[in-house]
Amino acid sequence: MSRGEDTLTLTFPPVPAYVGTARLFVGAVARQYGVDEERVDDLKVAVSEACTSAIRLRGDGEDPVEVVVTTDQASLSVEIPASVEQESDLTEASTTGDLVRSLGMELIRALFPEARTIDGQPAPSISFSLPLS
Amino acid sequence: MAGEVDLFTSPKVKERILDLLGGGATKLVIDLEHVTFMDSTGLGVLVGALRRLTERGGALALVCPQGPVLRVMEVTGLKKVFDIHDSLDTVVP
Repeated sequence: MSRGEDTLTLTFPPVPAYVGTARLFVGAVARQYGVDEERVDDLKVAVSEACTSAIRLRGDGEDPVEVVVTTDQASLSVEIPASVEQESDLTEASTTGDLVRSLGMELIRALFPEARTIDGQPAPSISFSLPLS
Repeated sequence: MAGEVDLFTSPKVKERILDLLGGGATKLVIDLEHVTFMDSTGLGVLVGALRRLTERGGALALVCPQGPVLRVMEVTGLKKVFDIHDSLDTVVP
């Protein structure tokens, strides 16, 4: 596997059936770059959460969801535009729906503490990465 | 249960649980041993089941050995919320 700078993009309609496809996509790229299985699992969780958020944000809209994986010699990064819902406080989640939305971001941040949101329209993106050994 | 629980599949899991609760179940054991993936949508369904069962004085036990599902429960702190067992054999009825 070359270790040049590569960018791979998956674009899919905002329907729940494709969240699993996004996980497989990112998981496959990560394995090609030698990421260990536990971190592949972590990536899949983060991708699933971000795509779930992106689909929910679109509501009945049809704007596609884009998952961008960028690799270089040192790291593998995932960016999912328009995928960050308004945050709510986990401790104040009053409904199961609130709890799920809070848990999604909690999970991403717990698995990838360096995860960051990037301002953008119509909504921010989320980006997370891991080092390649 | 088996397979992956996410935005696409969690509604089916929720529906099945609600069917059981609607049928009067007060104690549920959900076997997650063969669930290969779960995100917050699945966790939300389990939390909802726990809330409903607790409200009616019931109980929820999960069978969830080491693996990706237990890891998301650990990361979110939900491992302490649920009654989790390594195998069906250790679930006390």
